[in-house]
Amino acid sequence: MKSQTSLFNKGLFSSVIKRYWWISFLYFATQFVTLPMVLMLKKPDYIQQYSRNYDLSRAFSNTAMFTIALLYIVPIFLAVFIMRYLQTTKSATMIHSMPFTRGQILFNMTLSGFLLFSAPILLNALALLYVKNVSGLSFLFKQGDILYWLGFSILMGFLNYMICVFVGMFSGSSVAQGILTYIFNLLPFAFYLIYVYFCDYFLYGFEAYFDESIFSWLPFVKITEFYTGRFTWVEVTCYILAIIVFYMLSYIAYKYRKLEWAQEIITFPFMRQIFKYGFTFCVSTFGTMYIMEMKGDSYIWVSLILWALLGYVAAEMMLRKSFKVFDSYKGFLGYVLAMALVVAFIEFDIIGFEKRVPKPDDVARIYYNDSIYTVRIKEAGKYDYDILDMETKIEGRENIEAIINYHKEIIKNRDPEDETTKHDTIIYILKNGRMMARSYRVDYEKYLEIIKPLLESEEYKKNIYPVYRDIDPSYITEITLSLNDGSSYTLHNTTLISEIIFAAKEQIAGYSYKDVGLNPSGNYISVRFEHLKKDNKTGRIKEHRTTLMDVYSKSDPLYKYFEEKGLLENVMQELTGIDEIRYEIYNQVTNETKETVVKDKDEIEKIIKEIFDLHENRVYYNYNNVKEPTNKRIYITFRKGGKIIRDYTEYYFYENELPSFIK
Amino acid sequence: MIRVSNLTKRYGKSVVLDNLSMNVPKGAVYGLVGPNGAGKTTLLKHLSGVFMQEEGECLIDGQNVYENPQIKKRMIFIPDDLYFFQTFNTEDMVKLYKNVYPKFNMERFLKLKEVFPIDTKKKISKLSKGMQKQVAFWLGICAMPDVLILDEPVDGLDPVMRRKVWNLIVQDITERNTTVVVSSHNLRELEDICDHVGILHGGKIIIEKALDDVKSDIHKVQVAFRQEFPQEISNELKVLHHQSIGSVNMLIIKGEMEKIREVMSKHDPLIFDIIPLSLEEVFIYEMGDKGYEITNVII
Repeated sequence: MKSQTSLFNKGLFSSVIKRYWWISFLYFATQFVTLPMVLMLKKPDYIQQYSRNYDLSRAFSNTAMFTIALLYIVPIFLAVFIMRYLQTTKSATMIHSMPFTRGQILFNMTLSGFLLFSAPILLNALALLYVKNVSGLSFLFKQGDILYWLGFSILMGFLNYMICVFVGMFSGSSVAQGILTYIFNLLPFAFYLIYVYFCDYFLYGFEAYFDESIFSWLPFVKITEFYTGRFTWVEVTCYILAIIVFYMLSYIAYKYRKLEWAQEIITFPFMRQIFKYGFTFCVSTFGTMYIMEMKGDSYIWVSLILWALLGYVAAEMMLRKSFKVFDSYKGFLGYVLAMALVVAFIEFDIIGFEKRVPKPDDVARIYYNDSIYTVRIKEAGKYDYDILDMETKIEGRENIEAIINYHKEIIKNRDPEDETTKHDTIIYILKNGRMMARSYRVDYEKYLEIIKPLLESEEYKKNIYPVYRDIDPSYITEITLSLNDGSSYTLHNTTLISEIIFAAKEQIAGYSYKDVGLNPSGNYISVRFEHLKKDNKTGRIKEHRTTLMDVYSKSDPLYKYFEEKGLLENVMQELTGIDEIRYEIYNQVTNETKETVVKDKDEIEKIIKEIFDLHENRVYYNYNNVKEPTNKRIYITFRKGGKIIRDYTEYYFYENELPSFIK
Repeated sequence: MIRVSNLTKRYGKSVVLDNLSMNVPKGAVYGLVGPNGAGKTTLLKHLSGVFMQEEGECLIDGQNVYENPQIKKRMIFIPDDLYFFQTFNTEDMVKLYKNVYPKFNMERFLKLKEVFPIDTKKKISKLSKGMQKQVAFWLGICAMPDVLILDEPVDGLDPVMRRKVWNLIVQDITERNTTVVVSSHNLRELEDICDHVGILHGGKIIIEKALDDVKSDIHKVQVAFRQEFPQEISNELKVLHHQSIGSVNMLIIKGEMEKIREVMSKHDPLIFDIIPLSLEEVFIYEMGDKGYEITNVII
């Protein structure tokens, strides 16, 4: 009776080892050559150089990356081989006529698989230990590194092994088992991608954000994170549990698996249906995604149906192993009908996704024009804020109302999605803690009046102009004024800095909603406020934060201040002493170039002044009607003693803005 | 010993075994006959615990065979298409069998080595089909099974090899009183060895008989009378078949031999002989009696 209780059978176990030891050996050899041997062969001087330039803690994991990449292949390869006994009728008959229960067979196969997979890793870990202690490269890696590599490889590799065994229960073909294992591992990605892509297409306002972080637990993803060295005990426990769960599931499936299903692509009849329609669905959606990326959305319906037909016929052919599949057209019609219902469900917005706008009372705060990714970080309190960073959070009741009104108006209008529209994202954090994200392309100018309360509010101005906040002037270590022609001037004077900040605040306070909402083009002077801290010893930058502000016209308070203090002369100092200006006018139509040389002092001064003043007039960048520039391109060079000290290349001018000297 | 009751098996929509029942007494040699595709292999795979029954039962000594190592340790199944692990030679297989079948008899194995001219160090997959079959028998017999299940054991073997294989089976039966179930699509082959025969047709065992019964129950009679063939005979005896060539009549009669002699002698026949029937003939007439056209069932 002893044998009845024991799962282990020496004969069965050793027969697997005897047949497949070579896989194990190849695995060992590959690992040995790529890890312990590579480390052994590293020359001391190379390592010294390496250690100077690179982070040593990564030295080991970088070398080990190849062996980690093998975790995608070897366990699956091994499992396919070991499970081969189940995939041909002859071998399945032979093994199952022997006095074993299926539980015993699976146990011995799994145990031998574990040994064949983990023995090479263990041996190489010993080799690494030897390298560390004997070869004098001990500083390159720690004992813990070896242990981590060993544990990581065995755990993640064996999990892949077990997943492949599990998948193998649902397939009767070794090739299919291998392929299906990879598909199974990637399936969550695929479905999520389909979900995001098609919701983005069908649902107006859907924020298409592919959140990769939700897949970080997937074994295939986790393997890529080997080098980070982060692996908590909770994760280890979860993966061990996953191995056990896949073992149990494999056992349950094995119990119900019929041996005559060997050599079928898919074994269980219900799985065949799932496979057939799942395959149809994936081919249809991925094929259509491809077409849409290449040719746009004009063929979406034809594409969805044709790809589905292709997928359906292919799946049916695989399942039947025959080309005679056309009698099963009813299943395809059923699929098309079901999908049409699903699409109608989404298109007619049965769940009210497109029209949903929260009530102001339900909204705790809004992130306006931010990404879901950063909002999540901000909400978790993990965002590294600085006073010079832009902010997107809106909490004022009136501003929330303004955004909600704006949102309602967008839904009402449904602006066409083309390149001239502006991309706007609204992320609500509701009082019940839920997040609601929408994004649209909008013809922004149309809504300026509606969103005016927001744009002119103190809260919003403080959000997008950090200088407008209650900022400690000593925090700003330098301010750089840059002119459009490329000249710049940096000042560190604390008095000047506080005065500039004051003037900047004055200027922002006077901004109208148009100034805030539209991006004016053609800035005159750009002012960069910087917080810069260097390490006294190394001279490396420790902290660096910056924010920009633009000055558009001579009536701006900042300009007045600069003029008053004579700061602009500092900037323009470089341009004194110019003794020659040449400008080439290239006519695109006639393909002619005309060069003019100016040497007259008064003329030179006039040209400099004119170019400098070119951007005095504020021009709002209009999303709808981008003005066509003239067909004239002008190339101007300023020279001092024959040397070019500044040049303006690729200068396009609007017809009404052409400098007077060119006409 | 072996009891199958109401066994049903479907492959997709087609029913292969349809509410099948069969009985094999201990020590019997049961010949399972049926045309290709009748479901012989499917039935044997149920008997050997390879297939799980969908409906019905498959019992050996009152216990279910499926997933029952205790029963399966006492049983060897030699399928038609044999499988051996690619890299294994006969010695490797012996090691495996020793670990799997507790009663594996090494002495017997070595003793039988004289009978089998096979290089035990050569990979089995490299041997010819006949050789492979011999290896399977060699190993199977040495596992000292109580039950031996053989699927078309001599199919594809040359006559010399057939002889050899049958001899081995007979030897084992006589030595150890093994219960054997052996399938064939050829009745003639089973005639010398079986004491029970079951005919599988349409997913059912349509006839199952001990051969002694069968042979004592059906008789081939050659008889000639001076006058016309007396019709009373047809009324008194169960005549399955009647053929007359001139005054000589060939009758196949079901019934006890004594009764046939008694009835015949009343009519004072000129010639009266009872000729032994071949197993094939027995089944042809038995089945004709049950309304089956023999050519449809046994090729």
